[in-house]
Formats: sequence, structure tokens, C-alpha cells
Amino acid sequence: MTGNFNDATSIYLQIAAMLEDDILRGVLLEQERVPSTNELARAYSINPATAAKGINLLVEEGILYKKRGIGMFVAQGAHDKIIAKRKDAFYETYVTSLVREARALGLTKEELKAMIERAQQ
Amino acid sequence: MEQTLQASHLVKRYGKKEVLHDVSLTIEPGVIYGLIGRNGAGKTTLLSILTAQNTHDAGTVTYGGQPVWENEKALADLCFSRELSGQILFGQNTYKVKDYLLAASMYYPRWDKAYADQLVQRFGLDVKKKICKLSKGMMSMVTIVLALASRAPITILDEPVAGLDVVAREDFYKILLDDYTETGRTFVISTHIIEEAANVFEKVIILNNGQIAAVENTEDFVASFSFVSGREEDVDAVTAGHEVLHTERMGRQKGVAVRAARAVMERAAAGRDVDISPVSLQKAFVYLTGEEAHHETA
Amino acid sequence: MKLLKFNRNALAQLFLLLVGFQVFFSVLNMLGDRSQEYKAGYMTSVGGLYLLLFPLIMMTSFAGISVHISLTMGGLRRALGWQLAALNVICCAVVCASQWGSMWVLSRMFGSDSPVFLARFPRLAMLASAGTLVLGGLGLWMGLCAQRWGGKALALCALAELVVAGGVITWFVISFLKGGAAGDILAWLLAPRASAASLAAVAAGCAAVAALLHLASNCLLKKAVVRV
Repeated sequence: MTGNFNDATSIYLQIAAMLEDDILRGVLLEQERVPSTNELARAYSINPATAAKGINLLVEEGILYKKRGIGMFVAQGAHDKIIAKRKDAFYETYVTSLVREARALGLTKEELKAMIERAQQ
Repeated sequence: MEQTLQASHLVKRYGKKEVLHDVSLTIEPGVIYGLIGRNGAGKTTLLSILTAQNTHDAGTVTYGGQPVWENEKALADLCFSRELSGQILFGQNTYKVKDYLLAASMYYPRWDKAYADQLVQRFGLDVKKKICKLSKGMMSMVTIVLALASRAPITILDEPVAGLDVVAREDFYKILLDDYTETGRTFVISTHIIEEAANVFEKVIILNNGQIAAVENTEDFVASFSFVSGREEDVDAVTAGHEVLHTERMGRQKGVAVRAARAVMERAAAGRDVDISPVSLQKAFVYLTGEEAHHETA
Repeated sequence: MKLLKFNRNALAQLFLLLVGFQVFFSVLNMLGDRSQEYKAGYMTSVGGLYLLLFPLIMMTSFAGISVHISLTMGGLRRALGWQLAALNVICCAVVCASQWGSMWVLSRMFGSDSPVFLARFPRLAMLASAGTLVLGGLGLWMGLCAQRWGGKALALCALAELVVAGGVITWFVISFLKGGAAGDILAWLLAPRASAASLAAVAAGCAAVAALLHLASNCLLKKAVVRV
């Protein structure tokens, strides 16, 4: 987790994204405990309610689950769930803005395809 | 055990001048509030009235349903740590830091001496020093120690970071959150340093010209604004029908801050080449309360 | 008593200051003309009258600052009222004690030869002791008014009070020296012997005036606010 927040999106979304990144990178493994809202709050100087909102979002999506009295844990299959979720979001997050920018620059479909192929090498 | 502090239709006049107009506010237990407002907006007056340190001309202030004025039970749960000054009434404030700590230990029933000593050490305060000889930063540190060690269920701090350098400010937010995560008590913090503190406030109260302009969850509040920029015609088309708070123009380029969520603007912008960016809490505050604050629909 | 605990240093300072003041005057008197004992004696005593002004200043300050700090920390006004009255009585006790204190210091410094002192003039001593109640009450009043009018007005009022009180005392002294009605009152106060009844009368008179002043200041206290 980096702990540097930008003001592009709400903090709670960035907290959720940070935890997801850690799960993808293997910093947090499945069935492992994630930091509590208080720990996150103290670590990043944010309000615990904000941290809680981020965690609850992941709980709703089935990426984390709650063990009563102990804390929040990474769910089984969370890694795959995150990949699937981000694949879905890929279009909105990257592709639409890529196309829009390309259109603004007057790039043709072929030029765009060539660039993508070059990047994939 | 902790109850709700509530102000209802407060009016405060100084002579003929009305400084608070019909202010109603509910302080919910267990929340960190940020109170922001321009100089002269009435923040200190409001906080002073909430804690029975100042009178009001109309309306009520209650704690647990009972008025706070001369109410021992209510005052035992409240702590209002004001800005200290080197001048007190008609002369220098020759009281020492330890005098204030002694007074606090007598007046605050839940005073935590060990915590106070710990904080004094952490801040490097010399308790034998007179208040009039302290720097502004050290005076702020004293108010912070008094507020936090009071362990009052509702703790109010007036400009606690005034005069503190950035390192000390960051330290304050850490100390505050350490305490909050441990005790869950209610905090109301008035500040001018908005952007830094925004992440710490669960809710924000905006006071403008003696009136409450907003009381909302901080992130929801910030998310309700957008900044749209691009060519004038495009921007006007996208923001049509929404409340415009601020306009910037440079040639044919126009930038406009609107009271509308980014998602809403993005839908309205479909196809048009405009940039839609977020508005920080500080900027939102400036747009709402600045000189050119005007309300028009584009 | 929160207010007393909070101000014990100030009270100790008042005591020491008063003792020092009275010892100083007595020593001055002793270094002067011994043959003029009576005149010198009353000069010392009159000097002692000026010591009444100390409680005036102290109580003005107590009222102003103690009330301010107490209110900012959630103190109750009705409790403050009683505590300020108690503080005033204690100031009065400190003045009495300082008279005995200075006598003790002087007898230690100059042996058993008891120098001319306020104790010689019981009515005057009683006035100095009980009179602190009145001037203390007045000081309280001024300190509380500061909550309404602010610091500058307070400073002006305190100054005016000092000038008036000092002026009245000086007028009595001059009238005594030159002969006059006021001087007769001072002569009465300076009588070397006084009946218990007259002493009680002086004390009662002071106490009554002080009580009235306290009632008046309590009205102000009811609506006291923290003036920034």
C-alpha cells in the first residue's frame, strides 16, 4: 500500500483499490487477515469511517469476508474476482478515454491498432 | 452514556449586528466533525454558545434534551479548548502551562494526567513557562494537550493547528486518530487548514456569514461538485440546468465549477470534448464562500 | 474549592507583599525621629491604610482571570459566585494575618522592643482588616464588569479606583494634619483604645457594604461570558 491519496476519486475507493492491488500482487493472500479499519485509519491518517466504507465495499463484492470478533479476511477466489471485476471496468477506465483521446488527436483506427500491437511486443 | 448536543434556531447579536442567523446543528456521538468557515463567519461564537460560555438571543442549545446553560452534567461531558493568547483581559497572561494543566485536572472529571504528561513530553513543552512567553505553535500544543487529555465525550478544538509547522500538524492528526480509534469520542475541530484535515473529518460543517451552508459526510460533499472545462459552447451545454459556483475564462476556453456529481456531468458530456475533474474540499469551500459566490444556472 | 486551589500562589504572594510593605514602613518610621513617636506612629499606620489597595487590585485580577479560566473549562457561575466571596474573605484574613506577620518580623529584627504599629490603633487596624472586604468586593465588581466591557475599560476603571481610593486616604491624612472634619474621623480611628463595641461596629459596617457589593456582582456573574 502506498498511502498517497490523490483527489481524483473518493478516498474509500482508493482504499478499496489499494487492498485489491495488494491481493493481486500477493501481498495479501487468500484467507489472510487484512488490516482493520482502525489500523488503516492510523496508518494513513484518515477517518476510520472512510476506511470502513472501503472495506465494506469489498465485502459486498465478495472479495473480503468478516469473521465475527476477529476481523476481515481475504475471501477464497478473491484474486480471480478482482481480475474479473477489473476486466469489466477496463473498458470504462482505459478504453473509452483512449479512444476519445485518439479521436481528439485525429488518429485513424489503423494507426491506433499499430500502436497497440507495438506496445504488446 | 454520551448524548446528543443540539443547537436549534440559534440567533446571536452583538449590538445591532446579527452574527448567527437561525443556526441549527446536531452533533452526533462518535463522529469527527470539521467546522470550516471564513474569518468572522461565527465559528468561535457558535462553539462558545454550544458550550455555555456565551449567551444567545434566540433558540436553544441542549445536551441530552436539557439546556446546557449552567448544567453541571452537560458541562462535565463537554470540553471546548479555545485558542490561547498571550494577552488576557487587561494584561499579559502570566499564568504558566502547569497552571492550566492544574485547572484542567480540577474542572474536567475524566482528566487523564498520564496522557497529558505523555503529550507534554511528546510536544517538548516546558510546563513552567508562562503563556505570554510561548510561541504560537506552543500555545496550540497546549490547547491540544488540554483537549485530548480532558477525555471529554464531546471535545471541541478551535484552530488547534494554528502556528504548527507541517510536521507538527501531521503529528496532530496521528495523535487525534490514535485517540479516536481508541475511545470513539466525538470531536469538533474548527480549522483553516482544510485540505490536509479533510481526510480526518467524517463530516464537515460549513459556516458562512453566520449561517450553516452544509453539514454532510465529507466525501459525499466533495463528490457532489465537478469542474468542467473546454470550449465555451461545450461547457455551457454540458452544465446547463446545474448550479454554477465559479467561472474561469481564458480566451475561448471556459472552466466552470458546478454543483453536480462527475458521473452526472460525464453522462451530459457524452461525445463532447470537455474535461471533467474533481473539486477538492478546499476549492469547494472557496467557491461556496468566496467573494464571487453567486448562484446561477448556466 | 477549585478557585482557591487555583489561586493559592497568588494569595501567598499577597501575604508576603503586605508583610514586606508594612515592615518597610515601620522600619522607615523607626529610622526617623523617635521623639515624634505619635506622629511617626500614625504615618506608619496610615501607610498601612494604603495596603488596602492591594486586595482591590488582587480581587480585580482574580475576578477577571479566574472567572475566564473557570468558564472556559466548564465551571458553573453559581459555584463561582460562592468561591469568589470565599476568596474575598480569605483576602481579608490575609490582610489581618499580614499585620501579625509584620509585627512578628519586626520583633525578631529589633528584639522585644515593640515598634509602633497598627496594633497600637485598634480601630484603624480593624478598618484595614475588614475594609479589605469592601475594596475586595469592589475589585470583584470591576473584574466581572470586564467580562462585559473588555480589558481596556477594566484597566481604566481600576486606575480610576486606585486614584479615588488613594485620593480619599490622602485627603483624610491631610485633613488630620491640618485639622478638619475628615481629620476628626481619622483621629477617632487613631484612638489608642477602642471599645469592643466600636470595633464590632467598624467590622459590621465593612461586612454590610461588602455583602451588598457581592450581591451586585452576583447579578453580573449570572450572565458572565468568556470575553476573547
